[in-house]
Amino acid sequence: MDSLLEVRGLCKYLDGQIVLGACSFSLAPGHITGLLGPNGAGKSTLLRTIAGLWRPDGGEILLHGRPISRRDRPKVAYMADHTLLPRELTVRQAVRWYRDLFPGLDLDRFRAVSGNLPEGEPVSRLSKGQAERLDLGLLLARDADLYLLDEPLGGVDPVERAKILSAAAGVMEDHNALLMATHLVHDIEPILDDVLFLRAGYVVLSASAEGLRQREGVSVEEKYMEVFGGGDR
Amino acid sequence: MKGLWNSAKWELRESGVLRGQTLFFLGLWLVYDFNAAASWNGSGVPLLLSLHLLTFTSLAVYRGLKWPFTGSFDLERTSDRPAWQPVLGRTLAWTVVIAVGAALQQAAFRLCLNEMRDVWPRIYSDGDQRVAQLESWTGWVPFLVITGAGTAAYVLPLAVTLWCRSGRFRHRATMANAAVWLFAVVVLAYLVLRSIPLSISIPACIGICLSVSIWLLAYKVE
Repeated sequence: MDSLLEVRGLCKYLDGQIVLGACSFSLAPGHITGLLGPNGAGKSTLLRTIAGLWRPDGGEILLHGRPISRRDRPKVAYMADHTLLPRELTVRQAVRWYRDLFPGLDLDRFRAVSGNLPEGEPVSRLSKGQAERLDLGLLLARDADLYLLDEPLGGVDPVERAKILSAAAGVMEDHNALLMATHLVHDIEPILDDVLFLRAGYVVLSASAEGLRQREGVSVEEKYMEVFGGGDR
Repeated sequence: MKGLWNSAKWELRESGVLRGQTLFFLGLWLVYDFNAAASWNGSGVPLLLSLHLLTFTSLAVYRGLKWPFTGSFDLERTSDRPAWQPVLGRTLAWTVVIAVGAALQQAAFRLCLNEMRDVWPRIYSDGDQRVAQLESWTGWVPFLVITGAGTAAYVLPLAVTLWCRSGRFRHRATMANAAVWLFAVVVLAYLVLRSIPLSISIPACIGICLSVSIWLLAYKVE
């Protein structure tokens, strides 16, 4: 199967220190991949670099086999671990702002994912859960090839978490892929197709979740504990 | 070109300039200005009549420093909008706002000038000089110079802030750092450029800052 995203030898230095060290991996279309690793592993840096916010110091990022040009940028939809929407705008205005930036939003899908939000309320006054629903609704309403989610489950209750995961899984089609960074391995395990373990900026494992279960007889969470030193397996 | 228009439109909405309460407050303030100018006519009147312009210019400086540190700046960079559109769109938006401030100032000066010609020479020993100075601030040329200077007051902080977000310590840059650098650049620019006529230094400042901002945004900023 041709890969949708291919990352080859991606390096990133911040303040002279290696944050990403020659990361190489690929994402298959139609797959949800969990980007897992402890704090400071470089997950957010990797997502920000793929999204084009940070510039690689080495290596290349290929989408459908080609470097991501400016025109291709909207095909990569990025959601940060905090809302990037203008905080001064109301929810209604923020949706219009986002639609001007990324035309062709599927508003039905947006409403289905975000649920009821206080439309007249400024973004700055939304609760963490509401802001995440707004961000996720807008992100998934885009017709992107690659969705990048940085800690979308942090700070939301289990019911909200289940809704977010179900929405993320619901948007997946054969032509797109989703890469999600999180600490909550147990929660996302049911929807994962692949996993990518990152430690100190290096990819230490890139495998299929089902393969891990069949070949090694371990769940993703157990493998995570084994690799990152918390488990006795 | 749609990106240019959208950048300008949303910059004004994000800044709060187009908010109903802001416009209402500015309207009331305008009425107060004219009333105060007509009834008082003291030496503080020119400043009072320029307060809209000063407010708009201060807001432009603040937005120039703030925008590169906002989430919307990052999100905009993940879109297919070319770097010149957000920079030029925002600059045009602030040029229009500052031009409105300058136009209000001009209108106020013209409305009050006759009364000042009458009153100032009677209450100040240098009244005629004061009137002549105020007259020199009215007309198309001062309007264009003031609007140009206001635009430069937006693009200079923008260029400095984008430079802060492109330099060696870009990942630790804050708005406070950018403000300190801006102060240093303004002092340096004043020392270097004070002998150059405004008709050259203002367009040069706008041209250089815009080019640098677009280049930094396209190739350097993180």
